[in-house]
Amino acid sequence: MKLVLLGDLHYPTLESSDAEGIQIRNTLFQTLFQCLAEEKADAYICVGDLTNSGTLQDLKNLIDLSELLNSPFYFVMGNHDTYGCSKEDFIKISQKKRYYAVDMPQANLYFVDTTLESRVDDWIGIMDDEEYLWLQEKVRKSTKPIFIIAHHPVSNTTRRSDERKLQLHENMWDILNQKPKGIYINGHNHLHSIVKQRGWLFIQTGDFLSHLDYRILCFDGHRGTIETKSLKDRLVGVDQLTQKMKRYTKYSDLSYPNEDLNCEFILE
Amino acid sequence: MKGGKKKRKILPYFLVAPSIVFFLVFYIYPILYNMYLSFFEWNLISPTKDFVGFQNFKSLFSSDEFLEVISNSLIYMGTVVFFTVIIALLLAVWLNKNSFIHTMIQGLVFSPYIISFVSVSFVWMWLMDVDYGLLNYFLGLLGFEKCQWINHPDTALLSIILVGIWKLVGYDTLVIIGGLQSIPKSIYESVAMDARPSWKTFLQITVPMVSPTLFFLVIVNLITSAKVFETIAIMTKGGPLNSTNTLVYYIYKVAFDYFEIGSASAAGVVLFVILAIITFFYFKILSNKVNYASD
Repeated sequence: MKLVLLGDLHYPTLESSDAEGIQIRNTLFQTLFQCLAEEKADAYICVGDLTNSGTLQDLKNLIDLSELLNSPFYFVMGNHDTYGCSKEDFIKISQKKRYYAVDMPQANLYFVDTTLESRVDDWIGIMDDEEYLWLQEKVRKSTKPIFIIAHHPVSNTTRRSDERKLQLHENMWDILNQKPKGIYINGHNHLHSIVKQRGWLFIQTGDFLSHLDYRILCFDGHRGTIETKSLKDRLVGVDQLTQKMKRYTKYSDLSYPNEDLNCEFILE
Repeated sequence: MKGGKKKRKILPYFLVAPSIVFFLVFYIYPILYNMYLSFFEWNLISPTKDFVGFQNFKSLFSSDEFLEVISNSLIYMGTVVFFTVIIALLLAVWLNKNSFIHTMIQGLVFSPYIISFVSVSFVWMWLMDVDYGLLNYFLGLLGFEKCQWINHPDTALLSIILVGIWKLVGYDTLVIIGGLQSIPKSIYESVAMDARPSWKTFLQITVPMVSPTLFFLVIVNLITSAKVFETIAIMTKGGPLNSTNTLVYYIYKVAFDYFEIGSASAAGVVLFVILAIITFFYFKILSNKVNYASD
């Protein structure tokens, strides 16, 4: 099974009169999706914040782009995704449920919603009781390796997940501890990080516009690899775009130890 | 005799008592209870409320989101009131004739006011659609770029303002026409003898004579626009990026989406204070400069 993991995309909203910006954005994201298509993955996963302003127009643009992919494009909602619409509208346009399961031959994938709706000043992670119980039940009953995909990290796992607004405020360990192993995939904190705790592997993928890369996760049902692939050489003009974006700060001069970018793992 | 006198003294109080009770229960009590709740932390469900003093107000004023909300509300109120009154005044001067055409146009101009904000919002959402909207179609015909309207943080509030002006201008026009018709014709007849330019007559006679009506409209429009809710709830949900979030929508979200009743009540108190200050200043300052003509 080959999965491509994308960090927060923050697809920017631009004025129609900003022809240059639109040209840069369209080329940038078109190139990204063309590169992703070349990977011929079994599925493509984005960890939320697909758009920066949360407008349905931007979401539609991204969904149109995802048609370049030859495999399903799965994603969860990020806090930015409802800065311009309701969760209900997002669900309608994306034709995804708020939380859902995908059964793949080597693993069960659970996509969960951890966001507050349209809350610009507070971007903590939460889950409602219904969703929490759904996930608990799914994890308990699963007979395959489990992959949980959420926007927010479990607290005190990956980089910066010890900060109040950068973590999930639910006792996820009550759910995770039902199984001795699994993979938890998230975004939100805009930094790459891979951490192993209590048998679980936590993969946090940094935001796309700061890193210009994506991750490839290969898994045979028992062991797997993670590889981070850079697109820096193929993408230009990002700084021009990010300077115009509101409520988004681009990280620059980031460096990571290799274990946060590439690793091999065994789920046992 | 003594009993009859006492009865006559009590009777007026007895007669006004129902309205006083109604006023106290449905107007005064909610305001006071809202103020009371603003000092507590409560989620609407819990049987207990935790007293937090001024903490809700402190949190509000230290939140960038709330300061943006206040700024959005003030921009919305100021712009809507200014342009609505100006456009309505010009329309009223034009339509202040008794011909069939003018009466028909008066009806047309007034019609947005009687349509529900919900329907209006849906129609405007379609008009402002970036790809299929009528407005962008016309902009294209005139050789302009497409506008993002409610899809961009820089244009979303202006789009909402546009809908607000369109909705209110008809009512204001009709009220101003009423004001214009009450100006004695003899004044214009005297002015006509001076052969003064019509724009001078407009500025020096019409505007001052109609100023009590304008003053009333400014107050009413300010209060109406401070309470804008439907267009925002339907068209933008306060977004993109908080750019159209105004006070009433913010209060609704905080109270019924986040169940933070204390914070929502504190924001309600802020709205109440803003409206009270505006009304006070308008009455204190503007009412002195308004011409109340007497026959």
